[in-house]
Amino acid sequence: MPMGKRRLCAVMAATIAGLVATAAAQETPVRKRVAVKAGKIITIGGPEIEAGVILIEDGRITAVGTDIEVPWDANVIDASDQVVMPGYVEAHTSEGMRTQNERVLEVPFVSAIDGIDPISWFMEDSLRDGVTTMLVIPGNDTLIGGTGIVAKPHGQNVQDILVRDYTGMKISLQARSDSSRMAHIARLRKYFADLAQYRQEYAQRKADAEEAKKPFDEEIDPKRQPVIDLLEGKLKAFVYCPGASDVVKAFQLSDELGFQMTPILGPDCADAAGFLAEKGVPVILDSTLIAWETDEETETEKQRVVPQIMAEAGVKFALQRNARSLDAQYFWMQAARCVAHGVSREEALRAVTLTPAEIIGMGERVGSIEEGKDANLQILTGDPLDAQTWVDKVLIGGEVVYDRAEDERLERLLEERKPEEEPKEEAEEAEQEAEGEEKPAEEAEEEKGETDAEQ
Amino acid sequence: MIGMGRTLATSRVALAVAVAATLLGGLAAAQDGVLVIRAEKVISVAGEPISPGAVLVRDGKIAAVGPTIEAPEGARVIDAADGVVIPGLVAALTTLSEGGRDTEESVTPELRVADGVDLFGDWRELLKGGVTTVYLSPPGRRAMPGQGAVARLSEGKPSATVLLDPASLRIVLGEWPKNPPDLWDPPLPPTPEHPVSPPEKQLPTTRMGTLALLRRVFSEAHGAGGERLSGLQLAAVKAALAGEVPVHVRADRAEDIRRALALADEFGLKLVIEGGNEAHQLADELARRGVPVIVTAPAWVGHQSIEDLTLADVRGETRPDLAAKLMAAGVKVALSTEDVSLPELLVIAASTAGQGAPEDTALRAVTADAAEILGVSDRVGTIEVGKDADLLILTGEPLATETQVAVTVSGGQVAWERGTQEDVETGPDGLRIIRARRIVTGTGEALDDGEIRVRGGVIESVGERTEPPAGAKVVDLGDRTVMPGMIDIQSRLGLHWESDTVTLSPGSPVSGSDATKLTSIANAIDPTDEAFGEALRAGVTSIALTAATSGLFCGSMAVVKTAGRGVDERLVEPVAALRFSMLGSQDRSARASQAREFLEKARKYDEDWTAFDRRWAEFERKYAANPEADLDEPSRPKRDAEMEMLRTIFREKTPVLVVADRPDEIAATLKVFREEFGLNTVAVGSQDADRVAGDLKAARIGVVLAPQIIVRDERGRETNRPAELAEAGVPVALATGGTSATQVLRLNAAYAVRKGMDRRDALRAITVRPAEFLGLERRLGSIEPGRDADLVVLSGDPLELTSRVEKVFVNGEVAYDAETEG
Repeated sequence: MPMGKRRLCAVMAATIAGLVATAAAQETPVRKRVAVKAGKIITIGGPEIEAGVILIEDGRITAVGTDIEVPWDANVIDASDQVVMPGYVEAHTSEGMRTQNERVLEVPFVSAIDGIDPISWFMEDSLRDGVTTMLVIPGNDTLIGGTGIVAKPHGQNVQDILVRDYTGMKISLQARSDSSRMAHIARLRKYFADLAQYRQEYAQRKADAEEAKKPFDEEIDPKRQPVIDLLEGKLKAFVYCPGASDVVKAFQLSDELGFQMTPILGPDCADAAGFLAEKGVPVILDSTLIAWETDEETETEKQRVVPQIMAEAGVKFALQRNARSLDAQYFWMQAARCVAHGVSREEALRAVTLTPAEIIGMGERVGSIEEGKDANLQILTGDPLDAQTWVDKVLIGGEVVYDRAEDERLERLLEERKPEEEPKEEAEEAEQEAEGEEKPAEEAEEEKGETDAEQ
Repeated sequence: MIGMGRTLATSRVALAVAVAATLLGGLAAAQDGVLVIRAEKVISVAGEPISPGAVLVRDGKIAAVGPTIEAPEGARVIDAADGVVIPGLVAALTTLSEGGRDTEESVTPELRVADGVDLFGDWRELLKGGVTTVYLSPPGRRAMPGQGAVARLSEGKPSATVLLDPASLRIVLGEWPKNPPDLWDPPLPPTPEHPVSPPEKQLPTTRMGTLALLRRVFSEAHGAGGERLSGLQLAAVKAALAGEVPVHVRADRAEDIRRALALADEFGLKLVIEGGNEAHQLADELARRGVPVIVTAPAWVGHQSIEDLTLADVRGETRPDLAAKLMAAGVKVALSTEDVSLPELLVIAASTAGQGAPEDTALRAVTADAAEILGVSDRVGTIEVGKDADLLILTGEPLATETQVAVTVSGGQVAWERGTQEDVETGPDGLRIIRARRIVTGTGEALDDGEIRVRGGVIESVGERTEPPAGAKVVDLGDRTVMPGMIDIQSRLGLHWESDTVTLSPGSPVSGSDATKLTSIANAIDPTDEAFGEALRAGVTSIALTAATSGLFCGSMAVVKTAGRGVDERLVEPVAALRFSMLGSQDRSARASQAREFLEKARKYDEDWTAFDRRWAEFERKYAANPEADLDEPSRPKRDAEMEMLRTIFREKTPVLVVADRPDEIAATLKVFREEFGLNTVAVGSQDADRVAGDLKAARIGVVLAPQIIVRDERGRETNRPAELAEAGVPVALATGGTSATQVLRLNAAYAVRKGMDRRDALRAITVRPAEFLGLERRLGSIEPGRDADLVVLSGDPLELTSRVEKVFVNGEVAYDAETEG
């Protein structure tokens, strides 16, 4: 789709979003039933089911099992030679926004909702790769970076893709190049100390006004409100820890300053495995799963597989992908690499579904195929960890939002090489190549557009 | 975790450490966290030493100290019979906290060094030196850079535990804080209310500015008003004002120390002086006020030294006797260093004792007193019940020169222990048996499925495999081939800077340095030269060093090995041969006569001295018989250092290597060196040697060919010179004459084989022959009893181009292993 058109669509969609919402609300409720007949169901929450059925009613799973009668009015999706599993859940990403960080270090008041682009390639690719839920939150190059949203990668405007607003506060312990770690942390402490002082003074003013029986209409500073919510437990912090020492520091700070948090680990955090195991808190691993360390004495390089180390230590983790890297951009591949390095299949699959769902507070709704959960499913042509498996269909809220048969872009990409009837892997490579080529082109175009606008 | 569940072998040091296995086994014992250390002596620092002594550690704390302690069931026992136990060392001032830029502000009391410490750092070097507790100084040469912390170092993860935070508020006086950069923090975006303002200048530029700035900070915290400090900053300064944390003042000048004392008086600060280069001038006052000093030793240990003590103060260096003087005056002193010698804290303490401090005070300065100054004396610094189990087992008295740290216990866990894996490669009696598919001995016959027995770096026997005696270490190399270490008889490895050309004509003044001719060239090598490693990787284990000279007499050649520590260990023969050159540019025709004249002079010199020695012996004998007799003392010939070296070619038949290329030069060599003077001659270079092969054979002269071995004439016809010479019966050695090109030695030999040379001749040309030419055939060049165990392990036949060097043994030790070195 040409850019201009896409952009126009976005604008139009945004303007009529309200109308659509109203119309939807006025519709009389019709029970929409869907039945997915699956060759195999990977439930995540429970055992895998061979030749099972998933019943969906109004977007929710109402039954899972082998002995289930399919209602007469159900729309049947026949995946009886395919594998059905929950859509992948991403516990932390800053993709989908063109720029991920403010340069000012303390910007708790910004929100990913104002930055996210629902029709970016990232969203389209995510859907194609089976991702159905993601926490989009400002990036790591900051101190108090702003709040995130839970989104699904399907929809034309922000309201469409929004699953839950105002989720998670980014705090990053990554010191900037002009700062030391201790100065960075001192700055964080200073923010919280200043905030405490502000709240105390505010409370005093309020008490004074009440005592004097004067009306008090001073609002809490909206720029500080998100951090107040963090301290009051209405938000959870996602703390980026570039190194193992920062992990310890993150827990210390969360105790000291009084907030809940999930650590997002950087690539050099393997040493903290024992510490994390003691804490018993699930963590988000860096997309770089294998760290290389040089022994200072012998100068030998040692490979450290972080998920393996974490799993052995007993740390529960969610995996991240990196949409900008060729080898870490697919969740299935991240999970497969874990399995290749000794993590159990169950743990690896959980790390891309239920664990991230729990981390972002969506554990009751997504991440597994269970009664009562959202029908966010992916239908695969084979085992999820098999390199030759394709995502055939994706369901979000019981609706088929992606169908490979109708994936025009993918089809076009494959067509170009069709004469030779190439095998799948090649096709996949072709897709990657094509993506690699197209993305810069898109960016270039956008930049061009902007320069034009500026002129 | 080091040492857990592992039996400790007797280490080389004089300490026997043995683990008493228990019913539960080592691992279970370690999990119980109970450790018993028994030693010859326990120096608790808190009281009199206990001898013999024992310490019981439970759950990271010291549970008991006494002459004997019954080991509880399941406890790990370290029996250090000759050992001395002291508390873990406390380094009262370090720069281990992260470096780099933090902020440009002069006053940042809110910065906490504990936020920047690497909790998972690698502290092995410090633990090896016995340092278990460190004070982390806030970095930054600013007026008030932040709050310090005290941390314990250990082996675990995390490897650093913060014991006290904050431990101090730091102030820096003197030159460092002066002239800070301007601060510029433009508003984003600028508004009429917050316009862009010019950068703000900061205090201080002078000492008065420093003091004014600090006084303002303390006053504000004291409640004098002002809006400059934030809440966290105020809290930090208030803690110092309340005496909750000490103020560590970096002050070297006496004047700065006085200001610090005045500031302390004014605001009631608890003061600790850091550095204090001139503190001895105020020693009595410091003692009276009870202000301790942390003396930082500036690289006393083996690094740069103070050349002129009278200049120490001027240069801002610490006088070596500063700590001793302060101690003598009764000042409480802690010793530390801010440089790389931090692991040598015991050396710093010992050298302080050497400056006159009592030994126990010197030891306290790195243990109890340091802990007290830092405010952690309730946790560390002495061996007392209830304190943290930070202990060292030393091999002797703490301040003795040869004492080493054998075991470092930190927080009840063994954090480091000394060499427990030494000597596992050889059996107890040092016998190593090397087995391989094929052993090419170098003397001609190859031995299949045999073995080489090596003891003490020397080959004991070579032959059929027999049952190894108990305790012998068998190294089975599988289907590999073993050959003798190769010898490059003409090399400049390690002489990279040796490019001086020294020329000499007999009777003419020496131009340039003649040092290389007078002494062994081995004195000039750089043992760290990486080219040695390159040669070793190629299987060349010995080289004959040759200076790049072009005169008639080119000095001596030294034979060194390509592996070993330092020059001494590598040196095989400092003067293995003397080297001459018959190459002449203009005076080529005159070379023969010059050589004759020169050698004649040398022989005359030798004869004169031999005659003198004989007469002198006679004289002495007569004198001894009758001291009263009127005897004529024989007149002594004139000494000539150069000639002195040349005597060896007459007296000891030291080989003479003569560079000669053309037939006329070779002929002159034969005539002068061999026939006229009867010297042990080897021809080197010898481009046209093959044309005079018959003469060479007749004169029984060997030839060193380097580096070109295959020559083509104008018609493109090839001559394989080593092959032709060898066939003619002339002993041939190949050499490279190079530096790092030494590694092509074996390939050159293989190439000569490809071009028709006999395999056995080619192999000899890089092993036995060079050894013979150098007169070292009894030590090098072949795999025979009595030779040095210099062996090259190859994936195939030595002269196959495809064969790869996989291992190299030098003196029986693995000096190169392709597997580990990639």
